[in-house]
Amino acid sequence: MATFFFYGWCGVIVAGLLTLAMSKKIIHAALGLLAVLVALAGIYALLSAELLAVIQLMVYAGGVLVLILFGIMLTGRLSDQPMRIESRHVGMGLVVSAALFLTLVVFVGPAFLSVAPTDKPGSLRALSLSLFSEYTLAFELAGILLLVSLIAGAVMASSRQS
Amino acid sequence: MIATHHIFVLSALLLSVGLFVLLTKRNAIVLLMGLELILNAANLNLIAFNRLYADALHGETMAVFVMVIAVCEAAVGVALVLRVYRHYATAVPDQINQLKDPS
Repeated sequence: MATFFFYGWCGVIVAGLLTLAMSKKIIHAALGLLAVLVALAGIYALLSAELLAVIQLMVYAGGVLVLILFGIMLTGRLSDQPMRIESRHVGMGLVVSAALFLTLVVFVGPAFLSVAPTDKPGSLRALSLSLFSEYTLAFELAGILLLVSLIAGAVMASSRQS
Repeated sequence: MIATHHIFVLSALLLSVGLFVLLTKRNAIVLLMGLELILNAANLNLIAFNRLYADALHGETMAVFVMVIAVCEAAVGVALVLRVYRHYATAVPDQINQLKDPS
């Protein structure tokens, strides 16, 4: 059953990736990215990482994607035409990324054929405990980083000339 | 049970398509989307390989911090694109060529 859902989400991811890579309309590309992010949340849930699935939905699908949509909205107002995505060096990009994919799958992938994943139970409680005991310093530093990037974003995007 | 090998292939696909988007697209916002794909590929690997160890959670904890960094990157990145757009009236990286030698 889990395998069935895994391949279903894989299909959604491939469709989203194709939309993102080939669409000429930037909104369609953003919707393809949304499909990929939501499907990844589903896969995280299948891998019994529920906390990460929820964070993925809230932070990526809810936060980062809205930010990107705002970016599209604010940079696309020069003309009335919908903003087109131009591509260049498509052949070269295709060759390089296909080479990377084949290298990873052919040479690195077989190392994981023999490993067997353990049947992990849900990890919400253990992950929370580890965040607030073993990784407290990193947690606090992440908070500071978020504050700094909040200030940086506000300063960079404000229109007031200093 | 989902095989780790299959998750690895999926993650490699995410990484390759992210690289393809970064290499070929001529719009700064779409480049940011490609960057998010690459970060997600890393996250998927961290979570998949965490499953190989029954009672360790370092991979999933690392994935949480990767998400924090990704959010900061997206916030500052979109703000930078907006700033550049206001100055150059374009979001196409190729047309931002003020430092280029005019000859």
